[in-house]
Amino acid sequence: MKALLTSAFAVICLTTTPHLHAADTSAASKKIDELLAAGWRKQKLQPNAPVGDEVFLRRAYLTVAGRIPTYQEATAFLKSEAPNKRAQLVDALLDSEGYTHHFLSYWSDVLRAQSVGVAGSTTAQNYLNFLRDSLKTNKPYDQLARELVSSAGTCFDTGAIGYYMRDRGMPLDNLSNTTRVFLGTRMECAQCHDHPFDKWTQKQFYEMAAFTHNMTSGSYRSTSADETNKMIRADKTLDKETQDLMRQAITEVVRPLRDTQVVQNKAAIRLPHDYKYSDANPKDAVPAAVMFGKPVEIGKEIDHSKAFAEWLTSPENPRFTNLIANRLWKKVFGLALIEPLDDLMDSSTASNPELMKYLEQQMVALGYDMKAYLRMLLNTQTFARESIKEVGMGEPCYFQGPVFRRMSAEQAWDSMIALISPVPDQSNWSARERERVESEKRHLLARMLDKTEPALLYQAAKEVAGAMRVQNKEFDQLRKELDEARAKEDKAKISDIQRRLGQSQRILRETVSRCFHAAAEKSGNAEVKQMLAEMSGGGEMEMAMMNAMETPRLEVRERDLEGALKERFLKDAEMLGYKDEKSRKGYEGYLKTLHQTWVRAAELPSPAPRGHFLREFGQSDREVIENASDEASVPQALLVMNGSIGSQITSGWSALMLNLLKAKTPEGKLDVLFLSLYSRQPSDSERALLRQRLESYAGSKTVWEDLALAAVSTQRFIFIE
Amino acid sequence: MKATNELSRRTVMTRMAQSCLGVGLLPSMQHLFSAKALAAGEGAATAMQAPTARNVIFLYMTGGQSHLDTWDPKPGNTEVMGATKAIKTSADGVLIGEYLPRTARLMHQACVINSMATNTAAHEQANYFMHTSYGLRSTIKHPGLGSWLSFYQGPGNPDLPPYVFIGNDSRHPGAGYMARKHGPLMINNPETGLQNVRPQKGVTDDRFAMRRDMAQALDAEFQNRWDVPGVKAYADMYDDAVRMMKSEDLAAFDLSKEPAELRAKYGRETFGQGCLLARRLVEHGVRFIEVSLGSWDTHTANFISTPRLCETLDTALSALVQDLDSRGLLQQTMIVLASEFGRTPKINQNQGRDHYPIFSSVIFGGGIKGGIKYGATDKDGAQIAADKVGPPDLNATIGYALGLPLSQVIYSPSKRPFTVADKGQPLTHLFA
Repeated sequence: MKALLTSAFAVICLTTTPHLHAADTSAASKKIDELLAAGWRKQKLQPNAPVGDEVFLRRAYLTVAGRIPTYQEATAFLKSEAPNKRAQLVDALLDSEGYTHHFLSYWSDVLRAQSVGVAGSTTAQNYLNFLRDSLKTNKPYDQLARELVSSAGTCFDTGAIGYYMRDRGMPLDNLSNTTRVFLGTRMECAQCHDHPFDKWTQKQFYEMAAFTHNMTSGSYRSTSADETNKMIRADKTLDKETQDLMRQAITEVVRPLRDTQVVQNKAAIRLPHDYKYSDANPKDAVPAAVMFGKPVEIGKEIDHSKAFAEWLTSPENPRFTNLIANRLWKKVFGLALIEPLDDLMDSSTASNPELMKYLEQQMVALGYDMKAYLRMLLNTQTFARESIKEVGMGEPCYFQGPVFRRMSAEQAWDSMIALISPVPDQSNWSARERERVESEKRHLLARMLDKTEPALLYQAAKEVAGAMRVQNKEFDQLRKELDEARAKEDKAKISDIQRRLGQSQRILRETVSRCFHAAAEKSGNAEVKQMLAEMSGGGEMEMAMMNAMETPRLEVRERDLEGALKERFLKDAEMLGYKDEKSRKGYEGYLKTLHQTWVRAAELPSPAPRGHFLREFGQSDREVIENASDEASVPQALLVMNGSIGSQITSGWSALMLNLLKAKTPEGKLDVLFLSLYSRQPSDSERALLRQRLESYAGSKTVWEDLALAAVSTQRFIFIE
Repeated sequence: MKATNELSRRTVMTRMAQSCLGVGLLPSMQHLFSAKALAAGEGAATAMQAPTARNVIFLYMTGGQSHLDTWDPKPGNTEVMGATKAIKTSADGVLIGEYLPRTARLMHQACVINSMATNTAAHEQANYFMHTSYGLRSTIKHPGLGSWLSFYQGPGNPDLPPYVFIGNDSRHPGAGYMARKHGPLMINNPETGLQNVRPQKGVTDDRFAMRRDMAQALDAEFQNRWDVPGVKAYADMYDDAVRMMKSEDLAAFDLSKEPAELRAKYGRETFGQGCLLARRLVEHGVRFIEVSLGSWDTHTANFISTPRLCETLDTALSALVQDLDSRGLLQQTMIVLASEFGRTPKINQNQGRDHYPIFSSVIFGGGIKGGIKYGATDKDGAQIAADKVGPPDLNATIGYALGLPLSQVIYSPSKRPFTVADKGQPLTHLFA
């Protein structure tokens, strides 16, 4: 009763405060347990037994922070005698960097966010960083969804435009993805014909698409460059070849700005030429209309995508709330109350409808605060019960406990990182820094082009055209030499010609940046002068433009260690007895570069390159929505047994090996090993069994490395109890 | 023996169907994957047409190969030919570009298709269309042809992957919506072959065995308590992996077993060695191998880059055809060369050629008639003059050669209907 009152109160508050901070959800947690218990009674089921601290600890870390606890973290929790230590742990984990990493991996899968690929790299990176920041600041989910669906402008304004850039040239697919991701409604069949298994008609699909189909993704629209192209076309004194070369020069200078802008144009959507239903004619223009719920008023002055986003994310849109309530429930308990959660139909029913309804109410009451909602679920007694072994395909789940499952690829990798790195949640700071600098430089290039007078750009293009002519002469010469070399089958000469071709192209790129840089220098615009000063940044002026057009480099080893890592270094160097400069430098370099490779999955390229541990373990390729897999495959076993990750874990500098080194007795080492990997101490029988094994291998100097790698290759490591 | 094979094939098919379709099948569709329908699916491969080829080696020219400078030259038309000349080949009336002299001597075994036409001039879309016969969509991924072969006919050698891709192109669609096991094994570098099949340096057989022994000791209790299929699959996976490390079939990936002379004949570039690896894999029962060569995206200096790429292609392709032929494998192995699109007849201001939706393709072996040309472009290589062939038609032709049931509909997990090669028409009259 109290819980209901609280939620009613929260709904009222909602009209004035967009979201509530640190809402007290303990009453709601109890209510959820009650609703679940009512479900068990109805199904004549018994709840699973409560779990001990060890299982709770490992489960909570994996569920919230996406990795196992480190040895130190595990020890601290198990030792603590605080009465509410579980709730404290949940709070700490929700506040941790680990939360951001874990949920970024998840949302990257849902939203198909890629570091490279269809979306140009600046937009793609800014998109991922936008999502990263949204999770870090715990942006309310409805706001996040609104920002994505109503995004427009350049990627320098907001990374959210990655939402449309991701489906560049495929606005109909984008709409299908939107209804699936945010409304749990599959409409892709209705793109081409009335939905065969659901009620949606093709016309309805087009009415929905009418809201966003004209979100057009493309290159940065530089007015100055456009103006210059017009001047080139209009100049009758230029021959055709020069015109082509000059236009080519403009293309070259704006190349770094491709795929950086989304604009909503005015085009109306029309039915396809083969539209076959009687309610409209082929090629008819279709006005925007929503598929259910409150109709959306559309006037000429109203921004379509904004109006659409408002409707989509409204608490009055039942599927919007249902889906996110189920998504996060599934993240915690392993399955949703409705499976699959994103194929909702009118007939879809939750395994526990009362609970479903309550969760939806809570989601709204909490103002779509994802952390508060998760906190509510994580503090239920049910989360702290033993896992359900198995739920048959298509059978409803009544959640007598969470569902037993394999770690996701990211959880598995991130847990390995907890064994390797002393700071497993550190960011891949040099990559983030590189992205930031690159984005800034490109933004500067865009602004500078805009402000430089077209007449000056025209001159620069003309100069570049001259250089291209020279290059063409060079090509003729190279071609002549190539013919001779081919006739003589002179392989060395042929590859030399290839090298010179590359060189010539590099020189041309430099010419492009030099000429356009010179144009900017001649500009009478004070802003351009200011930007030029920013751009040079102490480097050689004539290379500044070039830098703006290319990806910057960072010298990681030249930066000093800081914070936790510095402390770690000093302590470990002491313990390892590193006195001489060479060993200290070696270890220091190792710690400095750790963040580039041995970091959380969310800090690596999305998706990881093929063949990477993450991909082998089923990380989504980010091509279609939620495309991850937990299937076993032989390459996974080969990778764990023989791959580089194994040698990284057993290398002398890994967190695990250093902790093992610190323990002096075999018993102590066994404790370290078990706490590091399984978040618990060995049982008596395990101790006895392993003691026996250790004795039989006593002659081996590498026995602890071997035992560590054996422990990693177990099922108890990769499954979550 | 045959009976057990039949039975295991049936089980495999059922399992594949299940894993492909997932849950939530509508009753109206279930009959498609009933035993009876499966039997028909199986039989359809042979009932519809007798396969003419057992294997396919698909040579993919990444980036868009210039058709004028290779398979569709226009002798005397210097405006479109630029610096490239045509040469005669061992097939009457078939001329090709001068940069492919070795292949020219083998053209009596080849069928050139000069009337390939695609529907887009964007790399990613066109590449995807060529590989899958479907348009690129962001709501679904379609499987490549090798996955279809694996889906219908299972792996050629149960100990090896059904489908292998050799090259660095990250664009490959893989298994699409089908189960991952139908996807290609990706090999970046043919020289290093399979990854992680040997223990790390310093890990002796004894140490390796000791690790397995300790892992079992650590896991026994857990596996006992959590006796669910997922855990069991992982236990089996480790056993399979250890077996694989000892398997003789691993030699299929080991190019060092080839004589140095032959390795040199294929060319020492990645593509040449990839072609040689493809031949080894065919011998070991892998039935669909793709080798990619790029980049043919010659917007600038086409007449320097294309000859160089052709040198690599010509060396490897001619060696592959001759090698397969001398081993009696060419008859059952179809070599298909394809690209995403061709390049403009017009030479641009940077002495390059831009994207163009018309191009050529070439087929050797696998039952195809040799020494012929099919389809044609006009005098400038700019328009299709006769017998237009789309990527689905080319894929249907390959599917036909492999005996795939082209008209059978299967459903993706999202319940959308698909067929091999999306209703492409096989060029049946090109078969001997």
